[in-house]
Amino acid sequence: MASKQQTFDINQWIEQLKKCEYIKESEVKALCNRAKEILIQESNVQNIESPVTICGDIHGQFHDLIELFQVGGECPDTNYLFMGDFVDRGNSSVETFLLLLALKVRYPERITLIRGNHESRQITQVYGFYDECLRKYGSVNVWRYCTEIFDYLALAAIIDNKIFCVHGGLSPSIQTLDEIRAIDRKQEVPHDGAMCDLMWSDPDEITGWSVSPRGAGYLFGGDIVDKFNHQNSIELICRAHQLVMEGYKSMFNDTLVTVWSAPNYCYRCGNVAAILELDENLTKFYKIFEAAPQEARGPTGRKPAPDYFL
Amino acid sequence: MNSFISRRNLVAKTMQQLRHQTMLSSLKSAANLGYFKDDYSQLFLRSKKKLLPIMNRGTWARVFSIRSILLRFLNAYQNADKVNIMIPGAGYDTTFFCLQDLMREQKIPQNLQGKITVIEIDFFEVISKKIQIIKKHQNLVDMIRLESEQDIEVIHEKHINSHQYKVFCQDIREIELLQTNMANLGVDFNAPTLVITECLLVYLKKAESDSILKGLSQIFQSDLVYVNYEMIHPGDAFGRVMIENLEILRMKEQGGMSSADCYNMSQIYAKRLESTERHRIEKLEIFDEFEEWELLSKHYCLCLGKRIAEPSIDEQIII
Repeated sequence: MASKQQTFDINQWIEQLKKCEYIKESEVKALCNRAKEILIQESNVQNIESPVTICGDIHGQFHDLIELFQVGGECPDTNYLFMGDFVDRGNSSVETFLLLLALKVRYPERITLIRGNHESRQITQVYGFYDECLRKYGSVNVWRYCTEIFDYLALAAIIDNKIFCVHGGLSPSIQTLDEIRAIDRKQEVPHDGAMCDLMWSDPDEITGWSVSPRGAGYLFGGDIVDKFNHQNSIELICRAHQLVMEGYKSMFNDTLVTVWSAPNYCYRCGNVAAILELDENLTKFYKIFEAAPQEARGPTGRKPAPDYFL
Repeated sequence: MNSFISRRNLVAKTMQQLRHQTMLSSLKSAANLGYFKDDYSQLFLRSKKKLLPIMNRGTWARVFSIRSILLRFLNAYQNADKVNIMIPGAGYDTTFFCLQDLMREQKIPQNLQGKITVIEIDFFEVISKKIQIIKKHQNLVDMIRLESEQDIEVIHEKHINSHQYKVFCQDIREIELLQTNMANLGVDFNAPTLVITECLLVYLKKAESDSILKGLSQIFQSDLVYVNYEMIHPGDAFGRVMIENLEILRMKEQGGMSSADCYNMSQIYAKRLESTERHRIEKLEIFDEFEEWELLSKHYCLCLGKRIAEPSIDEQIII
């Protein structure tokens, strides 16, 4: 009986969230509790089977997420992997994260969420999610529930044992997937070490490792990718984390790709977004899309005025 | 004809007001977080909007690079009898008050004590409001008057005329009026002059800004240094480089400058700002906006034009 009630509620919440209406604080709490039970079962490197559609950063751009589902197909008709950075920067981080989380609870086998560097207590206090929760709920409870869930998100995913997906990139402390599996992930994103690097690192046209200008994570070259892929029998590393004006960017002879899914990032950058569709044979197909048109944003989604130096 | 002009004025005024508000909230946010010292911007704005690190970093780069040139200018002319700092479209600019602090902290050659005149021009709506706010703060009022001016009324409804601070309202595009107004306030046209404009010329027609540059170069007879911070519109790299080159040409041709330099803010940030200070501000906030920072900072540039007689002075004033 209780579970029926829950099913009913989750469908209701999804409907509501899809309209960009946020759900009640008590409902967020219930949703997070249920999500926690599911996420805790997942491996640090979650196994996924093809076909699946891979998505990069969303950053609270709710209406563009709805556009993404239009382009890629609705969940659960399409299987999805989101590679983190659901929150911050955009105006609707609350609705964006809660919709993805509700879909996870409703269709746990159909959608996978892994953690990005913005799924962190510290970063969300600088980049908007904290303030948005406070503004929309009048308290920081919802921020607390959500950031607690962040600690349970998987760190990476592997598709058909061949495509390794992670938010940022590699770490000099990690040679094998088993080393990632051994991390105790249920914590705030640390300032350094393996878990931090997975969410903060960037590929670069260098040899070996280098210091990252971000102050966290590392820069890694094509030789590092070759070695990691070879050692773990991987064909491709798929990651997000960096704005790419064309939506995606392939590097190192197609052994690594960046996928970026926030069109016109921060309502200012003028970039297109991409999602990467993989069929049963892991054939890659990139779909490019632009920001949701003004009329799709409705009265609540009026394009916010970005900051400039005037 | 009249209605055409007044409509254009209205648009210009509205944009200027937006510009002033944006500038103030940027300055206030960055100053509050310790990017640079500006105790005064907060007095002119109530809002407590905290801006994102990318905006604070950009504001710092803008303020720090312009201030660096200002300090180099003052150092280069430390033996002068008088120097002018002119700020067309000043809005709520606090350079005058910050300079008084810098002087007291001996960060400016002490010989220039009482010899620096700051000249500000803007529309009536802005100037009258600025003066109202200044009058509410006795510490600001006290900074404006020299000891010898204690008994003189220097702050009026529409203008300020003290020895060190001259503020008045007019449309900057009316060059002849500008010369008359400055002459009436006793501005010394023979003193070395630094002109600072920030995001001002972009709102004007090219012919208008050209005539302002040309007019200023004719009004001021002595050494003239011109600093312009501006947005660069074209979206691709070629267009940006082209504009940077054209700005140099324009300063020389239209502005009567003998030499000019122009860099975009990405170049300035990476290569031309003092690295110890840059490293300090980079630790103030978590920064996760690298790609965006490259994009944004390449769309703003800082240009420096100079007409300086003495080469030994000329070489001291650089971006």
